[in-house]
Amino acid sequence: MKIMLALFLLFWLQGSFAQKADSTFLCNESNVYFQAIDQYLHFIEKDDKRTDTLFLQSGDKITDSILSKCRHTKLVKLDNKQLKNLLRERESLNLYRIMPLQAKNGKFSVALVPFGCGFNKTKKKYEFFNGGKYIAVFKFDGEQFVFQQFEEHGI
Amino acid sequence: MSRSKDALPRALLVTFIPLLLQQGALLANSLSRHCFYDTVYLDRNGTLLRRVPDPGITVTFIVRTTKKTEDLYGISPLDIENVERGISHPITLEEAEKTEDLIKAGKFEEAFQTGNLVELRPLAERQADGKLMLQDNGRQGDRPQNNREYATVIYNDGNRIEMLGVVSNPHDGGEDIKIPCWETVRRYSHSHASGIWQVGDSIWHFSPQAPSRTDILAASGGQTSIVFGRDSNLVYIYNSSGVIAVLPTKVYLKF
Repeated sequence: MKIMLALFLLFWLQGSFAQKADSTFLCNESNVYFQAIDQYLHFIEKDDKRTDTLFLQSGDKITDSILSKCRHTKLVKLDNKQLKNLLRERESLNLYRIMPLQAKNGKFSVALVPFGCGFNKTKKKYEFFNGGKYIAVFKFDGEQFVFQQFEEHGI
Repeated sequence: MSRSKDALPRALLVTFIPLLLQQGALLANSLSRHCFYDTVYLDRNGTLLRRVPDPGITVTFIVRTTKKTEDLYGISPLDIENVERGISHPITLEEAEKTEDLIKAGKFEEAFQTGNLVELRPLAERQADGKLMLQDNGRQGDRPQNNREYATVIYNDGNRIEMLGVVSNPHDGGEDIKIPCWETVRRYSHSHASGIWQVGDSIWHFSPQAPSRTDILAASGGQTSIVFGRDSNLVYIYNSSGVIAVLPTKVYLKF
């Protein structure tokens, strides 16, 4: 029953709140996925790991609504073809996949899955190395998503 | 005629009884090796250096690793940029060789004084851990058992639990195992999955196989923790300073 309620709430939020301030589709700073990226950048800044460019895996509706800059970082969306072209020019890059908003126990979360990517000339394969994920947790107060905490889930 | 008939069995007995006795003696010797206690010394790669009979309990020591961070975590830009890249805390080759020479010469006290020996956990405990971790057979692929982590924990009260992580895949992001009551954990071992996910010309792996940045940050004080890299087939011993010893899984579960 709780799962059904959570799923209903999730669909309701994705649909009904499309016109409100904090949406999963609005192309502004209140976009929950953009907020998750903002929290990730804040998280790595604490370790002095500021990055000038963050590559996001595109190809779904999630990244369509994300702004192209967050804090001091340029957000570059790459589809599969663009990624492979770029990997011919440079040896490697870190790519982030944004997972769809999840609802569990009344809380909402967005996971960022990092991959180290490169082209293995010996195997003639594109390789993606994953070491876990980052999760930004939000609560929904009836009008907007409110950031709760940021979790690092390494392997 | 009857004499010649008896001669053959007698000759066989004369020939085989000493052989049987010899076999018996060898068997008794091999059994005694397991019945009595030993102190076992392994070199920095996990090769057996010395086995010394000990009236106490069986203890195994390994010389600290000389492998640097780039040896354990790779040297390509891809490896260097890995967000979960850990760190090694090696000794120099000279220090390792000096410690190993002292052990070979039977100067155990002096070898201990170098501070370059790491004590392994009791063999029975390691083998119990191995039984769980080796459910990931290290052969990669999308087999569910190869796409999850395994963990064992011993708490301060001696209670030991085994945990299985959620089956995930490197394409969707690895799932770590949340350990309950982390503050009261005395010993912790876990595995890094060997599973891969392959589509067309792209392959997804779990990385690193050695202790991740998160693992090392979570380690506390001088307590050593263990990672079974199921793809690399190595066991990594680490503490909050980084990886301090590395040996093949087979060796970790044998000596």
